[in-house]
Amino acid sequence: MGLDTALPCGLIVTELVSNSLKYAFPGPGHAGVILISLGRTQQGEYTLVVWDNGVGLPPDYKEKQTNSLGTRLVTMLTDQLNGTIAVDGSRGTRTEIRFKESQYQKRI
Amino acid sequence: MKGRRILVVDDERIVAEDISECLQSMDCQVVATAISGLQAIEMAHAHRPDLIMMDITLQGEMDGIEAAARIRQELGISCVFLTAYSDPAFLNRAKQVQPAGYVVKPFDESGIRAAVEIGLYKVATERALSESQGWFQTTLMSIGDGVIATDERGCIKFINAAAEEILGLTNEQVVSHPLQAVFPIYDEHTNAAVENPVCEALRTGSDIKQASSIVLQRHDGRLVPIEESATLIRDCSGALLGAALVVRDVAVRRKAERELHQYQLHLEELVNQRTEKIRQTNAELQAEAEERCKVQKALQRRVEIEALHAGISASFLDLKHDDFDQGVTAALEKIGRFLKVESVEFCQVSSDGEALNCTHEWCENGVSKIADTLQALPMAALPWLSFQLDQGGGLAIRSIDEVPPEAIMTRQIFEIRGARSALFLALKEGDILRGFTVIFATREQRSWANDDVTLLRMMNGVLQAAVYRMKVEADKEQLQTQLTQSQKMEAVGKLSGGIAHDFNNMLLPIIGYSDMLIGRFAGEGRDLSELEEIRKAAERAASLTRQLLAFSRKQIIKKVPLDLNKAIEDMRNMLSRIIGENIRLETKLNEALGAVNADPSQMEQVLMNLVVNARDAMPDGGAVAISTYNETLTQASAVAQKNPELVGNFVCIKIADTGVGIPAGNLDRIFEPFFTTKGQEGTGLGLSVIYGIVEQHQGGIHVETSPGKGTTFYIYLPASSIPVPQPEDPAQAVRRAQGDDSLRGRGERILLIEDEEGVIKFVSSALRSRGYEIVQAMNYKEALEQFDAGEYDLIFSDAVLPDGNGVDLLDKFMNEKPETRALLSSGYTDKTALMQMVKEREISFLQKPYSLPQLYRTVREVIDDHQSHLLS
Repeated sequence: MGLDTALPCGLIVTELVSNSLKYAFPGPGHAGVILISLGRTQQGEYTLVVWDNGVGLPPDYKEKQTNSLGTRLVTMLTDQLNGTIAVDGSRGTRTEIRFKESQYQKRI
Repeated sequence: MKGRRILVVDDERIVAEDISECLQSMDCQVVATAISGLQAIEMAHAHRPDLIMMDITLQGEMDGIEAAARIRQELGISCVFLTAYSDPAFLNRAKQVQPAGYVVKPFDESGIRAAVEIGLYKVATERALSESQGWFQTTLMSIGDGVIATDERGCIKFINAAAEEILGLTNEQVVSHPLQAVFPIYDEHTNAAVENPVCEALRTGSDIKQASSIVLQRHDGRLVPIEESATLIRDCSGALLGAALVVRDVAVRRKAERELHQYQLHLEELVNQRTEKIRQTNAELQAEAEERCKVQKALQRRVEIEALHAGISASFLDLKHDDFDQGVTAALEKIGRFLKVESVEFCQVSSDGEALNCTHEWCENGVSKIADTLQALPMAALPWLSFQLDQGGGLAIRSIDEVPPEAIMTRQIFEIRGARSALFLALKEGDILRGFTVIFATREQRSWANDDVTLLRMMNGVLQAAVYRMKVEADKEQLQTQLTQSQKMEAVGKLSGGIAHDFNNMLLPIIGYSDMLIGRFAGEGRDLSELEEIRKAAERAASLTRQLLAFSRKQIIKKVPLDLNKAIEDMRNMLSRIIGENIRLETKLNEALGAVNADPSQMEQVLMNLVVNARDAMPDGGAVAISTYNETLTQASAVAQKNPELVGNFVCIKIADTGVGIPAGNLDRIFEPFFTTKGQEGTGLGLSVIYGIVEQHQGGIHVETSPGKGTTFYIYLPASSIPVPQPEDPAQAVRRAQGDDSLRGRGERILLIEDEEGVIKFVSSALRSRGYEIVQAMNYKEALEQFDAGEYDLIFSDAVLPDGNGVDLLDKFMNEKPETRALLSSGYTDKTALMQMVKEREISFLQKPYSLPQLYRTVREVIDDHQSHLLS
């Protein structure tokens, strides 16, 4: 994976993980698991999944409408990767981002 | 800055978001963000931002500079580049797309703000300039006048579309060429080259407005009339930059002007034409009005003429014969007054066509009458006038000069009348000129109008009709007279016939018994002189009767050898009485005159009629000379030339009088039945009867006449070779007849039918004494009975029976017994039909009174079937 793809990818993971840490496990002494996975299909498509087993999302949650900086950053970076984002908040929160490696001209 | 729409293009979404945040904080509107060049172009198209913040490094093949170049090219939108580089190669590339500014990464908000503000300002300035240029460009290109801009040296910098059109060259072809070279101009009238106004303006330093009448010679040789003006172009400091030449192709305008001028001329022409037409129409209308006025006047005149015509026609309708002349004169007066002439004459040609007489005349008071002078003018003396009238029917003479000098008589009529002008109109019957009406103007010369001719012609018609009517009435009157005369003669004839009948019946016994006595006395040797006197008197009486019958023309024609001299001598006394005392009757009879085969009574009639005519021709007395002679006519003789049949030996009776003679015109008509010049006295039959008689005798008539000197009639009768039997002394004849045994009866039975007692007694005794057996019948009925009762050798009947007529009777008998011999006797009969039958049946006829020897001989001959006494 090239730098141009890896950079946003890292930022997306950072944001999603920090989100889970901030919101998925409210209250003290709450034990939880955060799963990060990155897979690549044979067609060269990457699937980045950040999953937590927290409280999940409220039923009226709409990812695009969320104006929180974190969510906006994720959305922007996914756009930058020309990827798709799918959020499932029913069993914890699962965010799946699919993208291909960005094609850039050689920089200098 | 507020509300400025900005597109952010950066592959780093975080950076893009950061820039967007920054821009929004500047009240700019970020319309979109893009992360690749293609997306940037797409967004720019979709949103049309005012400015684009463009990162150099983008996703995909296309970098920010290329995307900015395309956007600028396609949309004219400028970019502010965001770049981390500042190497010269990059800057050089970036400059090509005329960026609105640069922001070098890493940037801070103030850097962004300054770059965006400057960028937006630059964009606004660029756009204003571009718009202004667009305006000018469009304006320049779209104005109709050609504009040529030059630099300060006069070289072309730019020409607009209209100038291209005028020059026939494109902007590219002429740019940087000296204006002089592509724009040669000349004075339209003098063809002299004219200095280009631009050069002039550049030379003089002031604007030039060229006068008109300039032509441009295009590179293709075409000449274009133009108007032009040159204006100097200076910059804001007043330094000379160049000049602008404004050129206008005035060909179209000139053409339009010319067309307008043509059109004006055309309109003017139209107006002129129209005016001319109106003037013409006006003239026509005026002429028509005048014509109508004339026609109306003519009609008025015509109506007046018709009224006059009708009036005069009507006045003739009831005109009596006696008032005719007055009526004609009155009509002439009406015509004269209507036509305002001084005299109107009505002249007629005499019936023989020889002479012209003015029969009616009207003159205005103070104009003398000339009708008495214009009498018996010989037509032969008016050859010119008659020819003119014959040919043309009319003759309008304005002046006597129009009458040729040789027309002496016509000129004389003019002079007698004292006429200046005259209008003659012929009166014709078929092609024959019967006369004319003439109107004279004596006071002044006059031209004759159609109306005058028309009126005169109509009046001529009326006059002609009137004359004709009068003639017809006169003829009718004459016919009436003739009829009356004829009836009178018929009555006289009947009367004389009746008298003759009775007279002859009385004379028959006188003559018969005289003959018997003469026979007896002669036998006894006694003196016969007294008896012979009785007999002679009876003969004269019989002759008178015959002449009476001749007068009434009821006699039976029987041609016998005749001595005309004797016939004339016998008639002499009677003729002398007829002609009266103041006319001498002279006779010159040729003693060697030949005999003619003629009916005596007809010959007497010929003589009598001719002598009566001669008498009537000599009302003042004179002489009638009757002469006879023999004449041999050859084809060369004058008489034979007129009568080709008259060739051979003839006996001629010439009767000459010393009377008035016969007018030439009447000569041809004298033998026409009912033609008479004696008015009511004559029957018009005398000469026609003579003509008929002479024709019957294969003779001819020749007339010589000399008006005023007398007339001579020549009657030619064929000479006969049969000698005239010498009249026998009655006594001798009787004795010879009595002594002639061949004339004796041999007991033959005769049925004698006779109603007159004296006659039947005499005939019976005469025939019985000669040995005939006589059966008497006094009427038709008795005759039938006697006929049925016995056989007869001869039926001897009188023609007139009280209950029928003898011819019928004999006809009946001959039908029953065809071998019957019949003898008819009569003193007179007016029944020509009966006489016709006598001829057809070949019945023998014995004219009463007959002598004894005639009786014996006839009876014997009929019985012996001799035909000598048959009617010829």
